[in-house]
Amino acid sequence: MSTGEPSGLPSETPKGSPWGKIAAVVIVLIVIIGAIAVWRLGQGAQETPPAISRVDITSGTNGNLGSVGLAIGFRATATGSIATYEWDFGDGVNGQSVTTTANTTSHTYAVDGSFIVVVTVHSPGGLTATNDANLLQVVITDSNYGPDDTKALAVASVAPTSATLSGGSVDITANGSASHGFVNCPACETDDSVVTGYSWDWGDGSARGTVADTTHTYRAVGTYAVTLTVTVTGGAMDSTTWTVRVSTAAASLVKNPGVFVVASIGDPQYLDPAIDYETAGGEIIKNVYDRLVKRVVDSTDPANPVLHNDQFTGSIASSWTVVSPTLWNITIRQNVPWQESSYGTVTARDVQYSLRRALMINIGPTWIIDQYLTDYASDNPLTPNDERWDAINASVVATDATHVELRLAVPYGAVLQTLDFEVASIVSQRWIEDHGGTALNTQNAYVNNHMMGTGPYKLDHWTPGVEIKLLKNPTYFGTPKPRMDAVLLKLVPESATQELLIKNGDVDWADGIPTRDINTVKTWTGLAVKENPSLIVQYMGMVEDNSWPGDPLRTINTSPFQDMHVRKAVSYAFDYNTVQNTILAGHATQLKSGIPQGMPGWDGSFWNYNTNAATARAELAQASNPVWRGGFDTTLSYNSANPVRSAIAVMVKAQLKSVLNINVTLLGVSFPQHLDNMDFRRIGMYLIGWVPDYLDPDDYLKPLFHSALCPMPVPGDPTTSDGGTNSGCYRNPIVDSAIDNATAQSVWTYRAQNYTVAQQHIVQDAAWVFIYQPNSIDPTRDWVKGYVYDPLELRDFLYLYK
Amino acid sequence: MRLLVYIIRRLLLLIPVLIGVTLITFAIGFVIPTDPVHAWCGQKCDANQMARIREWAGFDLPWYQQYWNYITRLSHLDFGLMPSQGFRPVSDELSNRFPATIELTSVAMLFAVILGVPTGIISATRKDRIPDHLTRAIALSGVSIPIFWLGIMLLWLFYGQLGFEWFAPVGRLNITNQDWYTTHKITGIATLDALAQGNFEVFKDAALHLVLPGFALAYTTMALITRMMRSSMLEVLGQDYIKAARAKGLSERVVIKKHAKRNAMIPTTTVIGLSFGALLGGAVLTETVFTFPGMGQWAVTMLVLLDFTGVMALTYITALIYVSANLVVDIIYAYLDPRIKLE
Repeated sequence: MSTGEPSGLPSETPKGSPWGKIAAVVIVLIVIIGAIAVWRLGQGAQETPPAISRVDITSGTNGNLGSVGLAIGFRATATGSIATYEWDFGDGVNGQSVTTTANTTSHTYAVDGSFIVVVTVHSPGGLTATNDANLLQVVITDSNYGPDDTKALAVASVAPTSATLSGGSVDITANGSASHGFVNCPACETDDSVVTGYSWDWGDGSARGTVADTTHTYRAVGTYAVTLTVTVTGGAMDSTTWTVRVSTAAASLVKNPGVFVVASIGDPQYLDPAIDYETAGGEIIKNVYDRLVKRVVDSTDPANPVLHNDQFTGSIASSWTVVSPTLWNITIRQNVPWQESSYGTVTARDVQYSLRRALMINIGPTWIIDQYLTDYASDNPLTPNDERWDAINASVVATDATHVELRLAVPYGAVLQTLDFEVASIVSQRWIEDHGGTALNTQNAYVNNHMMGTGPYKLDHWTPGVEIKLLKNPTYFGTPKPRMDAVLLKLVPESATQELLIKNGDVDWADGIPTRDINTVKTWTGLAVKENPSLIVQYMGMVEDNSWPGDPLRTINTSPFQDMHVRKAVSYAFDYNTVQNTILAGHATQLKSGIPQGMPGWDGSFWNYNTNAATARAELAQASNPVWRGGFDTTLSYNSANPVRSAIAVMVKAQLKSVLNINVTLLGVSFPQHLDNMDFRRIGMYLIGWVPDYLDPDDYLKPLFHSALCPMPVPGDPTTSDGGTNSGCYRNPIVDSAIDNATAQSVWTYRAQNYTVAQQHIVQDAAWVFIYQPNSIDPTRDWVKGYVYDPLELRDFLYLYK
Repeated sequence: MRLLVYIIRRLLLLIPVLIGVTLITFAIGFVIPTDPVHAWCGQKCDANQMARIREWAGFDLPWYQQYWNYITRLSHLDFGLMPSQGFRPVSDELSNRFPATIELTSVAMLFAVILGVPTGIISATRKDRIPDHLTRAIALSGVSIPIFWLGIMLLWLFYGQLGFEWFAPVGRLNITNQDWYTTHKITGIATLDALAQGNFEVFKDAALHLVLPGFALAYTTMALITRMMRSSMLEVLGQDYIKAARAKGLSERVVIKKHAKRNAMIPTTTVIGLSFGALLGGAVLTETVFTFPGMGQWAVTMLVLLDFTGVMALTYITALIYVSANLVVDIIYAYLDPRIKLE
């Protein structure tokens, strides 16, 4: 929109001879003509089929709202060999269509109504394409009423305006109404008696309709101008026109073509890949930066790409060799340009710098690569700084201009998966050093707020709490190329507002629609709600050890949940059906193991805890301590801001009381308080979930079940917890050794065997109450194409378009 | 001269009030029983990492040192860095959002006064007749309808059902005009900036985006003003000097406009002045419903994330506005009623 641009000052008249200027003009003209000639010749040489990616309005409207009598500028964006553009503005005048050689034109509508602009491109060899996949709608209003006007006013509405032939025909419904003396006679406005005649011109030469509300059947593909003419008492007439587009393929009207608009609910914390550890920032980082490797996406059909979660391909790396379990040799792809061209291309030193930098900053996501690159040496505050330096510098080494060696401190089975995580994003050494550099345990405010990567989109601006805008990176090295000009993520905190926005098509994807509304939202037209099982596990943990070293009041473990029979009793008393079908309205599946269904290595065959009061009582009767057999008092902690967890907590309290006579005190608290309760193991049970970082069972089993991760006081300070993630303090040496064995191996079959053993014990020990895996629900407009479901729940904007 | 002395004295009194505000807001951050660092750092965060974030945020210092740092920064009008937001400065946020909220509350105030004062007068002069009943019903609904519900209903009707595109709750401007505005921002008040640069399309867009949130925000205040105006007008109309004015043979219009209205405006002015604070509070809900990027929307973010740097800045600014509005009200008093002496 450049309507408000102030024009520049008139340039001064140059003194001296005009010949230099004339010569310059002639040279420029020759160059232009020459360029056109070369371009035309090039076109003649090979003809690629034309395609229209979109049609949009360049001037004369506010959004898609225009006025009668005002010229509107249009532009078509098309690829392939194109000789002419044929424009049908949908109003049935000017001989139906206009042909241009330029991709822009303008049109003035003479009547009000709702119009669809259809553009057909013709190649020199006669190939054609239309914009049926992304039609443009223009709404024209008549603002030419004077204060003293008395005139007839026709109002029409036609639905659907974009229809698909089915069995050779399609029906549309048309509703008309009219008033007279609209301006000066408000009382007449609803008076139908003044209308003496309706006439519907269907635009296909068939008999006219003569009543206000009617239907019409179209039998051929085309763009039809449906005009309603009303006559009122005294003979005054008025017309209004709506375009109906009938095509063979599904067609839709796209709003904001060129910009993919998302209504988001979370704002990034940091944009620095080495620091950020949450999904809102992760998604932006994923699209702006690239990593050494990525998961394979088959986009042979661009509208329906397929993600292969377990297959990896090079991204910044062109190839890699596993020399030994602790030595990876990575070849860096040549000529990958940075988004700011002054920084040149990616080098092996950039890769070395990026990984070392993440280890040095050492916060949130660092452990994902730290666990094998230095075996947590960079994380241990007791290790002297120079030893940490040495460990970091020894782990990643650029051996020459194109090769980087990863020298692992310990073997690890999921190196590729972790190198695909955002923390391993490749940044430009020179760019970071130009903007504050890197220091041990220190953040960089500039890199927290700015981005410069190699990915398909680059950061245009981030207004925290408001929006993030990404622009297409024209120099992106990969294939396919990004299809949208821009991606706009608007933070819309209110769910009702989100629902209205996607219903009206002003956003293409809404993140903030609550599960309870999904079944309603699914019934709306124009929406495609995608639903996939997620890899999130939701469970109720039970604290098996409530003693706390250093706390005189908690010297011995008094928890009833140390007894496997108590845990089993609770598992059998739990009402799984209510959670899945009532609380979650069916948008979930039963969790059957410590790792979710859909993850490699999953084994759900051991789970057998269907709700059964008799079995539950029988289990509790076998409790080792007779005091527990008749029930006991305990607590359940959850974050009260989460409505699903609150509802589950209430159910647990009722079930355990009625089935097992266990008195549960509910501790509905804020999320940080909840995490605190878990970190100090000062509760009986807790409701929590686990979101995967990368796609490997190790990311679940080790943090959640390994005894080494039972929360403990930090050495010398009983008032601080080390924040271990096995909050229930589940301990089973068999499980520990199975997890350790699997972690250190890279042969999948061997790892899978170990994971099966671990899962069997975890489930049979009733380490948790395994509750559910929620479905991942993505409400999108039906014009959204290139949707890929990624269980890590970060969108890949590269494939998305509309 | 006396007025000037009065204003200076009141401004000096502001200092202890604002120091009190900083103490209270600072204390709140310490007494709440949760550790915000855990919220920023997440479930998977360990003790080392939490310690690092505490260090970055300066929370490892003793409380008096933290308070001293806070006060020293504040004296340079530096509100600090937000630990929940990647340590971005609060001042960035304020410069973006404060003008937006000022624009919205001004529009709401305009709506409230323009609609509230005349309806109050009409209601009083036609006491117990249909206009009065109608006005009272509207006023009653105004003080009882929650703002967020009204906001959602307005959106549902005008944008959802009637399909007015220009009310799309995507912020202060529609998506195409936002691009223009990012590069053409001057004061941060979108309507003024657009007018100043002669872009009427953006002006129209910005103005339309203020209509629904402005009305939703104004409704409660409008109702309060109507009720206040009505009752004080009734009181004034019963006074002897009004009878005298009528006995002199003045027309009813002159009696109301010249004699009654000005006196009835005194209590209403108090309500209007104090409503400014209420409007800022209401903006929290309105801005959230309409996705309007102002201070209210930011307040929600800061509170949910337990970011006390942000919360303290917000409390401080709200207090400042409240106290200033009170001062302005007192000065207007003196103008409206010359008998009131400012001492």
